[in-house]
Amino acid sequence: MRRTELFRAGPFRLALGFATALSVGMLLIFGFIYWQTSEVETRRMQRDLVQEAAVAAQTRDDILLYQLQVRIMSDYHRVTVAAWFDADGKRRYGNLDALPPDLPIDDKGHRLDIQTNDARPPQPAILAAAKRADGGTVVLGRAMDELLALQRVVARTLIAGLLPAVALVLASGVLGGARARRRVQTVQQTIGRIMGGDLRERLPLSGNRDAVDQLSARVNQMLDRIVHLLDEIRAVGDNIAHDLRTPLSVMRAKLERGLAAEEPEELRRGAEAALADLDKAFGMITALLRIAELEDSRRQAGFTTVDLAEVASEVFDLYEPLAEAQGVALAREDKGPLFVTGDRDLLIEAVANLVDNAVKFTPEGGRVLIRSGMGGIGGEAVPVVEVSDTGPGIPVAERAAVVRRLYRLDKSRHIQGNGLGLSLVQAIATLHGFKLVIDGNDLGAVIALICGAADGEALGNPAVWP
Amino acid sequence: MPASDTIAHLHLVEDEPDMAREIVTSLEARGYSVSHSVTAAAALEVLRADRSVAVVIADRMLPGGMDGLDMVQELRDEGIATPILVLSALGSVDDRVRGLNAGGDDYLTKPFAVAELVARVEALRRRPPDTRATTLRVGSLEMDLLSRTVRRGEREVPLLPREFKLLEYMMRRPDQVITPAMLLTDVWNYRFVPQTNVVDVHMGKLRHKIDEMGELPMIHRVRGAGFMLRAAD
Repeated sequence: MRRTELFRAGPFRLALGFATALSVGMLLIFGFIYWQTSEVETRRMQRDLVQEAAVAAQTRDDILLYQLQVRIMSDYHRVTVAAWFDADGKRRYGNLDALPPDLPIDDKGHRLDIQTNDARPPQPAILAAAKRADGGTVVLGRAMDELLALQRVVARTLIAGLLPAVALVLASGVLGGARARRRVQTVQQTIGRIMGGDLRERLPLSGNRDAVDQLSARVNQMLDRIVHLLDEIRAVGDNIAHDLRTPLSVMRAKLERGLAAEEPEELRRGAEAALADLDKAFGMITALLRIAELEDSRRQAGFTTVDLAEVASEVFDLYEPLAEAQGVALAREDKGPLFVTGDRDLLIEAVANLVDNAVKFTPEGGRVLIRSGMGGIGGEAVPVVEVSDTGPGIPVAERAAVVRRLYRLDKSRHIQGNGLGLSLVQAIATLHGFKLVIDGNDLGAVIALICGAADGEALGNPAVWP
Repeated sequence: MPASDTIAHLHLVEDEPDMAREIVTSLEARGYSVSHSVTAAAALEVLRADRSVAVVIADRMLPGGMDGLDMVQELRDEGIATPILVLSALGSVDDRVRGLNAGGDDYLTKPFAVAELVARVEALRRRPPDTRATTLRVGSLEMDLLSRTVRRGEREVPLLPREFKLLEYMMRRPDQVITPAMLLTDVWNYRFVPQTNVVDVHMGKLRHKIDEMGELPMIHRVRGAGFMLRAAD
């Protein structure tokens, strides 16, 4: 792992921020302790010394001498300053050789570097001086080395506590960053393999349900969907190749026969028949492209309010003459206007395809009924257009398959058509968020377009994907 | 089959050489004179100079930054009203292409039958004069647009609303080949072609009503192309 990558890793940055906050916090705490120990303690000592010096200035000579002696002799740590000078500055008693020249005699505490006669180097001390009635001066003081020692301890504690803490935080950041980085790398490698063509590969899940896991799970779902679609496309491709091969080979045979014919009229007939086959093949390609276009377009911008009863009546008018010519009774039943939101042209196309199929598969003397009204499968009623016929029906086992592209029931092979009608209807239904339901029995098929999200399934919800 | 006295001059804009050669040959075989250019810019040069061009046939996808639709726009901006037939690939029929049908121009998706191409060219070439006339007349056939009645000679022809619309469309375009696709887009306003050729059945019913037994036929089926309404005598 390169260093720049480490520092870019999220966890490391987080740790860095945390370490900074920790440092600032600890510095504040120790700053407060330091201030407490030095300032407050110094002030207390100053106050005591000023009071004691003032009392000493009033004390009788012999008692003062005694008190100073006790003070110095009981000071095992040699931190006490105590001295008594007479009016002309000569020392009467004490551990100072002379009155410190820079010590003002003003009943206040002062901080000075002082040298006692214990022959130590000058050290900081707090001193207070008071004038006696006879003009003498009493100086009391205390060396600050205890305080300084305390401050040093505080500083050491700070360093000893803060440095390991910061180091620990940063180290965990580095480790966390490296781990996150490793997971991302694994994901990247997996994606690389998938992009290389191995679509069966899936992203690894750590099992701790964190953000990366959730994302990976979603990506895996997406891959499942893509594989499913690819399989479908492959199947369609196979079907197209198969279904195109038939008209193409027939076409070839016809052209060959035409070319070999003696009569020019025969050649002409062969060419015409081949042209008709070619148109059939083009029709199939057109329908496939149309389905692809519908499945691609997620746009519903052109949607308006459409009256399903009007759609049904439009399709009825279009197919009535055809049904009549084929000896099929086309009937219509509606219960007044039935409004849905959709694309009028596409809905007409969908219903027209259903009726087209029904008329095609219904034998002479049969009946096709277009019905529009409220209905649906369980739950609340939604607008429904239903086309029922008295044809051979669609076997239960094949109902899911018939909406697939190019799927044709064996018993319908002799009937003209390209096996794309229901796929087209399905594509239009999906675009609208509608449902195509195939029902009926061997006395006829009933195909319904349920025009509402009956199960409360929202449009575009992946759960609706087939 | 240009019916007018002079030879109609067409201009084709198509960049694929094979496709261009086929279209030019087919149209010339049917009596048109056809010039050809490869880019929209070159076509604009031709059209600015030569106002005798009756119809422009332009591929939608053209090289050189200007496609067929841009060319329509440019021509109209320059005040050149020559009608245009745009050839569009199957998958690229969007609203802009469909808009051509409303604007006096037309579109056709590839692949197309030459008969369809010729029918569209003829329809554009002889755009029906948008007269305020309330009566249409073709031979002995007479349509009153106000009372919505049709007579052939003395005989009244009872028509359903859809049949009336079909006949009106044909009477506005006499002696022209009208294809089922044209009827679906212009009379039914559909964008799709039904699997079964329902238009044929509708036309068959109309024909039975117009041409009764013993009368000379007026509605003719044109093999491989569509239908034509022609005065009987």
